[in-house]
Amino acid sequence: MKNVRLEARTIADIDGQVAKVLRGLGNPEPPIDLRVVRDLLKLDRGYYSTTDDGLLREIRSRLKVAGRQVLLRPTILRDAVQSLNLKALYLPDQKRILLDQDLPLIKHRWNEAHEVGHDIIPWHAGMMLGDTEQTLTPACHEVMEAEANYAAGQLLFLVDRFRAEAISVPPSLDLVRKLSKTFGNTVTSTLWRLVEQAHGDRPMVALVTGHPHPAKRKSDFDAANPCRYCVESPLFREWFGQIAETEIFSAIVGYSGAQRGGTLGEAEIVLKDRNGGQHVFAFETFFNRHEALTLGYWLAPHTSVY
Amino acid sequence: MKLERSKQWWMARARREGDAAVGAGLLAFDPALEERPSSAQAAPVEETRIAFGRFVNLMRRRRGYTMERLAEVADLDASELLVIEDDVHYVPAPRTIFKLAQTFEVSQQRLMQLAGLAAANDANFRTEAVRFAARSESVQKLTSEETLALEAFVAILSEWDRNKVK
Repeated sequence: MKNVRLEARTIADIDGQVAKVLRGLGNPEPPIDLRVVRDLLKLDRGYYSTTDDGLLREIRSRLKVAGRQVLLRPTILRDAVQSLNLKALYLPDQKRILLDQDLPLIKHRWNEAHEVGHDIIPWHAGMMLGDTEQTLTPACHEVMEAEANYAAGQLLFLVDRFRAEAISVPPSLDLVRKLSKTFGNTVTSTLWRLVEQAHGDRPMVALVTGHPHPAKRKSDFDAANPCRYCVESPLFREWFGQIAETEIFSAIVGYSGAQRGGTLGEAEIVLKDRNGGQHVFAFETFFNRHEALTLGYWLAPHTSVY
Repeated sequence: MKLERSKQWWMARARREGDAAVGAGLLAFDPALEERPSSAQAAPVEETRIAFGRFVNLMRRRRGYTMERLAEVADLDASELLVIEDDVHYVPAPRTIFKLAQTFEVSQQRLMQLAGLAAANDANFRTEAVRFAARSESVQKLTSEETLALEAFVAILSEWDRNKVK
């Protein structure tokens, strides 16, 4: 699944909202403390559990009171939480964020920032799911999620602060791990951020997949959709956006070993741009025993030697 | 306008809902984990998009705006407004709908439905949208019938918001 491209005016508006929050906090140092963000925005945080019936019942009664999120069927919230892999909720009329307490702690941070994103994006207030009178189309929902993710990224990575630190050294998975520690965010969200934001003048791509080696693939591996995420930098999308995720995945299969963890391999790979021109990319893949993270970045035009 | 719904309507809704999971607030996805769900929601309806393009066109003309002027007032791209008015297949960004709803002082939710970003759980609204589109053939100046159609439509859009507040 490729990342959704947001329009320039949408990005500018979200940037403005995040900048306002950061200004309100006196432009803090990383890692940003989401407690102070909540205080500033007068947001409340609570938890639910996908395994605790009592908590689910409590939330259900609150939702009934809230009016806009009326739930008539007694089991509907639980069903929704379970079948949609729900990680968090934002109840705009209560200014309340609810997180799934069964998630690992490090995941709470992204989910909370994502819900803060819904709170600060002005047009999301009138478009919330859970409205009994309308249903968002999947495409609209996807854009809204991408917008909230973008806002979360801007907030957690302190907008330009991340870019300034990221461009001071060449891109690499080592750099991603280092920045992940500095900003207190997951390696995956840091990788995503690096590709989307850090190097505007260099085509970059990242893949989040299962283990690429044929011997290590899980039984549910889908050859037609091998990537959980395929994140393209703006310039990569412009020049190389025609390349299918499956093609890029095939390229990393070519150099990846069957190690159980750590670096799976690295290689220089030639990719064709939209005009047929060839370019050399540096690729490297790391397996954290849960998923494989791949970073590919442009090195130079490819010159054939005959 | 108060929306009254019959028992049959609610029963039909319940049957359509079946075992599907609906109405649980916005989802959050950490890029680090889990795949997005495949949603089986309603597809955009082209006929309401025709009404959406007509609506923007008529509202713009009623206010005496050129596309450039509306773009300036609403903080949108003129090129996008051109596509909105001319291409029924175009699906605008959520922000665009928000800005147009603010500018024309109508319900954001209703405009989203017209633009194909959301499906109304209300058949009457779609009927109104279609009627509006049919009555608003593109002409240089608004006829009195067009004006009436536009005003009735705006009234429905606004009424809907008031009902939601009650």
